[in-house]
Amino acid sequence: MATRRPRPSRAGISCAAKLLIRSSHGQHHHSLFTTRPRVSTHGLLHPSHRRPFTTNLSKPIQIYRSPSTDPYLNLSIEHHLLQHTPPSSIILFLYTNRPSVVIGRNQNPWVEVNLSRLRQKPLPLTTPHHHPSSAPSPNEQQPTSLVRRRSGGGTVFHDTGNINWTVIVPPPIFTRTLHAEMITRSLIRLGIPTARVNERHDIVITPSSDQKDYKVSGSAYKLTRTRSLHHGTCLLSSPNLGQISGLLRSPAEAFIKARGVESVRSPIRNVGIDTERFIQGVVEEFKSMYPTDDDEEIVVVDEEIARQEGSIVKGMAELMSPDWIYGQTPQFTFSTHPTEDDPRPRPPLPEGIPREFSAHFTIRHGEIQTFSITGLRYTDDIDAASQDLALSQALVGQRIHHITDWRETLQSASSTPITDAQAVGGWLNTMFGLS
Amino acid sequence: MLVPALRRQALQHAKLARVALPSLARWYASYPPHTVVKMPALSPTMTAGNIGAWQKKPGDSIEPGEVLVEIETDKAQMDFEFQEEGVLAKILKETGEKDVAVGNPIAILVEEGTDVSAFEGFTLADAGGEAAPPAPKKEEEAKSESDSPAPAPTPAPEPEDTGSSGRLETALDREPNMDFRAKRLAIEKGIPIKSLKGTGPGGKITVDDVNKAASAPAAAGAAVPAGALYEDTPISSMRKTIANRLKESMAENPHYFVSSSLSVSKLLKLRQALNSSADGRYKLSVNDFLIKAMGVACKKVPTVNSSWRDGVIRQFNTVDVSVAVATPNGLITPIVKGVEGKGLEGISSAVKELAKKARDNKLKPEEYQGGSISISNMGMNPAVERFTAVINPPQAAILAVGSVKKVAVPVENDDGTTSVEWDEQIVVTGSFDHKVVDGAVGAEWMREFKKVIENPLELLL
Repeated sequence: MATRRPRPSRAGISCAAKLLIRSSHGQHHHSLFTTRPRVSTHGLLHPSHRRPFTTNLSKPIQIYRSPSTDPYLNLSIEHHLLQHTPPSSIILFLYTNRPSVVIGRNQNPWVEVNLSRLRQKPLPLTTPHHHPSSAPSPNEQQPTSLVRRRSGGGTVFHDTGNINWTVIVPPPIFTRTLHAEMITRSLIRLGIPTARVNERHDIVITPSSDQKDYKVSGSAYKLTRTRSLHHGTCLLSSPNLGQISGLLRSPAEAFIKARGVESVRSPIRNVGIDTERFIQGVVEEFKSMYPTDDDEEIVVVDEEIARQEGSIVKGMAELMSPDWIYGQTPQFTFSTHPTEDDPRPRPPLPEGIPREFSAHFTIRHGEIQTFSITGLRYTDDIDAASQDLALSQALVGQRIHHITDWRETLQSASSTPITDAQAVGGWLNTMFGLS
Repeated sequence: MLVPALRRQALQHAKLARVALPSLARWYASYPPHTVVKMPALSPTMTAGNIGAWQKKPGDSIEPGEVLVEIETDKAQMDFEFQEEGVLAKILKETGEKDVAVGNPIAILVEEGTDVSAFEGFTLADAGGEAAPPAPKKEEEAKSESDSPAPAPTPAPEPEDTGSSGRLETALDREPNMDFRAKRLAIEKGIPIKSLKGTGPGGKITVDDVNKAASAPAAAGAAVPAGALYEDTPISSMRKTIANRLKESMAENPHYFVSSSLSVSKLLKLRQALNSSADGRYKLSVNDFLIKAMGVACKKVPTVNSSWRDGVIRQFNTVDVSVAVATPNGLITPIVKGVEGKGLEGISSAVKELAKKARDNKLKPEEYQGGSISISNMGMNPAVERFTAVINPPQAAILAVGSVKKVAVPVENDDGTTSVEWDEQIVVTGSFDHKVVDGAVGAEWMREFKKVIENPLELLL
């Protein structure tokens, strides 16, 4: 959690700004643009602006937003922009996602996410005051999505109260803070004077009501030889802040030693700015950083056309495949008891699990490499130890994300019925988010 | 390196080792020729990274430009694109390994056709082991960061990243028969070892051979036939370093230039006056005054006395001026430290001493690494009226000084008429890094500089 840090007194916050910080639903409707009605929210969704975004791809400065809340589509559009825009072009892309948990490229979903909770009832998609045009239809209500993105960094939660921004620039002008500062300036101009970029390149605010820093935006990067992509979130008005820490705490964390990147937890807050105002503010700031002779419009990506675009189709298929989401996890070890590699004390196992039970297995590329279970009890009178061994051997080579129920998997790996299949299998299900 | 007699002994040792000490046998085992792939620095400030997904597995061939492995550092996902051809023989660091320091071995590459299975037992130790990763996010000193030109180049590392096994057997076969001092000298002078002929015992290449080769004009490359159309000079490490730093500077620093014509008549008179009463203690040059004035201007406009670092702009509290000195080996910039606290005499003697050391190749690293601003004076060449200089990274500014010219300027007489008088002027051009110094700030610095130069008695303030 963030540590308390002494802050200078903020005597200069105007009344209007204080109102903005306190209210979680921005009611302010004054437009930041006095000219150009085309970029008002009504005009943006006008059919004449839904032109195929592919024709815009060669311009030096490009601004896009996505009308879809499908995280797999949005990330694939982003990847398409990374790969298909000219090396010297500068791109801004804005989108919101339906409720999703997004893990970093090299993270472990069983460590970072409470997968059981993820699969439970869907979370509310919008706040009552959210702009009606981006409210999805009822048949889009679905369980929270689990996404592994292509950039590095840690795990974040998205919903439509959180906005995602992406900036793609040529490497010579790229720095990690350049566009985090752009967003910060927008926030300050939109009435959040305490917004600043911290050492981890997150954007934090210090509400006057207390002296702590709260994270409102995190960043991640994908750097290729010819392009630098920086994307980040911004919590505007998410109704689910209370749910996030529960979703991002996994019961298996205590038992898993993972390689790859771990997330760093911070306390979070909503900024309390309406999505459309935020978008206008960021676009304005972006345009003043990168002025052009002709005024760039915000191009709304045509969802139908995007879903047919070859590279986007391919990208989505990859992002949605379990082999990507689960199989791309770097090697990790699950063990019920402390080992030399992982000497942490373990939480006690639940009642119903035999006292001698212990399990230790290693998973690489989503596949079980080594498996060792001991201490199971069997209904028939046999040598339990060698039965344990046989069962363990049988499980080597299985893909962990193909196991849908450990009770069945354990039982079918054993030639003799296991007394504790329900208890042990049930517990493993909880660990791996299957219950 | 070993003389043939010693070679025979070593071979015998190797044979004995094989028989008598099986545990050492692997140490003496030879692997087919291979290259050790090391953790690359994918950004200038990267010191370590996490290994991501390997895009190739052992046995796969790789073409230049293909991604070998993904690397993550500080939330950035990056592709390590390999620039050579080959076949991946062994992965030394698996996906998920954290904090692998830049320069540590991560994989083994071989040529097409090599038997990859020979490398199955290859370990990190076989690749030469690894250094511990540096502590991340520590305050990095200017010294450790900057890749400064070395007037007396430090012994260069192996020219290629060959995992030359270092096993006695194969090492003996491939190392040239040279005295180790001769080898070091050859690398320093940039002479290709292959072109050297040994005159020592057993055909050994000695230091004399290297020196002879260095002085002979045809030493570089193959013998040039009479009437040749060109002459190739191997690029010395100093030239390479200068080239890289300047290239980096032009690419990373958005240069803009502010010129000013300075009236130096008063300054020249003051200089003459001070020098005439010197009694041999000092001899001030115009450059000394310019350096002192830079110190004053930097204190008045400290933004210019700064450096762009990762995430911060470092503003220095002292003004350390790098003075460009031309030596036979190339350009070097020794530093006069703490200019704001030194008098003209102190600056003058410091500059003279540093210049002498530079020409004698005796500068110590701390004498040329660092600095917060630079000056380059071509005033001794009367053909140069003005010029622009390239900023020395990681500094933010450099002042380019032209030669003194007599210029006619209008002057108002007491009786209201205007006439013409002669003024001595220098054109100076400041190059500023727009990342750190905005246009108006650069102009402000120039204003302060001009003020002090044109009214040199203000140096007393």
